[in-house]
Amino acid sequence: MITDLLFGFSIALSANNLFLCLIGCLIGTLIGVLPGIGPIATISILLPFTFGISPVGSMIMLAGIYYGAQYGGSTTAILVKMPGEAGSIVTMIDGHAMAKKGRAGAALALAALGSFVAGTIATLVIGAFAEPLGRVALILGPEDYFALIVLGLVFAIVLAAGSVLKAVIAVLIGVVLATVGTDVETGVQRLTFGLPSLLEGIGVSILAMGLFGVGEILRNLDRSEAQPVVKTVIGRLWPSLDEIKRSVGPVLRGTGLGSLLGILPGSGTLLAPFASYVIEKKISKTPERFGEGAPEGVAGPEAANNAAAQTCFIPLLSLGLPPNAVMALMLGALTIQGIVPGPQVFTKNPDLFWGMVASMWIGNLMLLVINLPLIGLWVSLLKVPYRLLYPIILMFCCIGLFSVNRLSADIYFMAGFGVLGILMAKLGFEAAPLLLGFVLGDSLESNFRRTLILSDGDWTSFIRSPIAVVLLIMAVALLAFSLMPKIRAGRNEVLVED
Amino acid sequence: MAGNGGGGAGGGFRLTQDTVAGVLVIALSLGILAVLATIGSTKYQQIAPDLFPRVCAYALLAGGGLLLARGLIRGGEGFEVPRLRSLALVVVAVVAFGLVAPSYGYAPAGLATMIISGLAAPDLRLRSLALVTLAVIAFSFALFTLLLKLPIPFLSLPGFKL
Repeated sequence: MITDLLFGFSIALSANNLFLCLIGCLIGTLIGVLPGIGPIATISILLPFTFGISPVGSMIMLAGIYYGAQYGGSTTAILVKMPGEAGSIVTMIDGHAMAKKGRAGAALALAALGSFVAGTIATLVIGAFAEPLGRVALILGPEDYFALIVLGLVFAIVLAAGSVLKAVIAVLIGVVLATVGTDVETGVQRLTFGLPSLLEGIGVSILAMGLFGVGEILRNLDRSEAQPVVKTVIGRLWPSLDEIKRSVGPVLRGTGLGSLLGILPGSGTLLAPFASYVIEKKISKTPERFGEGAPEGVAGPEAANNAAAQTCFIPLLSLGLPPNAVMALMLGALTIQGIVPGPQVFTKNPDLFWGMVASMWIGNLMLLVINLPLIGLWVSLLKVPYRLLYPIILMFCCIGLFSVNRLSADIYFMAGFGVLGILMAKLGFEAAPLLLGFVLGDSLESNFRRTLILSDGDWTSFIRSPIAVVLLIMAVALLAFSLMPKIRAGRNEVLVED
Repeated sequence: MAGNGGGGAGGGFRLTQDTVAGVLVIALSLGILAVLATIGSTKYQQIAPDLFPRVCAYALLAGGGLLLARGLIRGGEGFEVPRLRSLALVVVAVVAFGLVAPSYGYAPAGLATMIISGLAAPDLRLRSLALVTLAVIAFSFALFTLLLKLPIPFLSLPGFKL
């Protein structure tokens, strides 16, 4: 692994990739700080601009946006009690309490240092576990892969906020949207309504920009909440020795927890900080300090959040299975670049895998160096009113999408998916499972068909392989488990965003 | 919100999120099945091209039915219609980009998009919107045309292209 990591560093440290990593981290922090635009929307908007960059460079930049947003989200969570990113909700509890006591600088530094340590360890975890997992994937048959994708989608359903039934429906709509276009095996047009622009199917960037770019703007305009006011004095940046001592254990435990939860399909980055907070409070000798500005309540969840944001790349790169909506977009970006994520990435594109792993460590270091001195600048950006921000976001969405195919139809479809996005929100649906269903739909169908073709149309072939049976039983059990009233109540408490 | 509470118990009929969603999902699945019915398959096609989307559409139909039943029996959160003004202005702004950009370039298209969509803000200030729009368009020329060299024209007029 050391040789591979060194090879990765030789790629990530090239001037071009370093620049892209820096850009990714800066954009990530920016959108993490700004309300009303998250990493999903940003990556969707930037997706078309990455087509001209090398696959390694584009992944380094997009990954930087993702974990940069985790850093940025905690800054606003601590200073103005407004998590710029869903994963920072827990940081807000004790982070903002510390800020009110004049320890905002220390809280920000603990969050950044905790994230850096977690990021460093998670980088090693990815390097150690992704390739062995990829080798396991090589023994899977089409029925096993089908079952694995079903399990992944069930995880996404169970870990989505709100109704399980609605999440199932959102996934199914996504899968159906993935079947739109010319069927590659028979040449038959499916659900194209005779429109030439649909012959090649719906582009992932059109759907993602519509749902998360335009849709998010429509949702925000519908809510029209008051803009936060920055009043907190940041204070001294360096935490006290006692605060550092108290944070070491939570950071290490949070990293372990985040690394594990990040690998599981679903909302790992959302769940990990909650789990870390609960554990730290449970094992603390003075749990009453939690909520009143306990440094453990900042360091642990931040470490868990960042570790999960990195290890969620493992299932994407080794199995080709994105565990969340951001990874689904990454899968889309890779596919557009002609790279099929999965076990073959390690042999065919080792530069991509190891270059990205190494860049994550570099990116975390960059974030630590950039963010702490620039906290004042990031906070001042909060003063940009949303009424001026969203027309800019909308225009960038349009330019980005139009630059890909120069087709007006793409723009109209984006508007249509934006309307779908607000409608889904009004009807209590989450959009992330739809995107995951869409991105995995192709693979789900091809493995479904391959299984039936290889068995001469025998439907029992889906439950002939022991691996497939185990995976399908797990999927059914998980779904049934999530429908139990007690579990459902706990799930709603933890996963409801905003 | 239109409020919580039982859907049918006491009081008149009230549109809940689940009932509206159920009806829409059922309509969507029936629409998909109707379109898929037009796909002809031959006996040489062992696995018909419409098989997989058809299976999904039936699952959607069942899901829509369950949702509708849940909405009618249990009620739940009320359905709130989105604010039509902001919805319409944002959609028109995006469509305007699609109409203007192919003929005149992304600068006038972006101008139209920013101004029209900006009108949807509840705390609209036209002067600052106009100033920001001009600044952002100048910035996009530097970013997209000069730096990223995007293959779309900034401004395209008869006898002039930038």
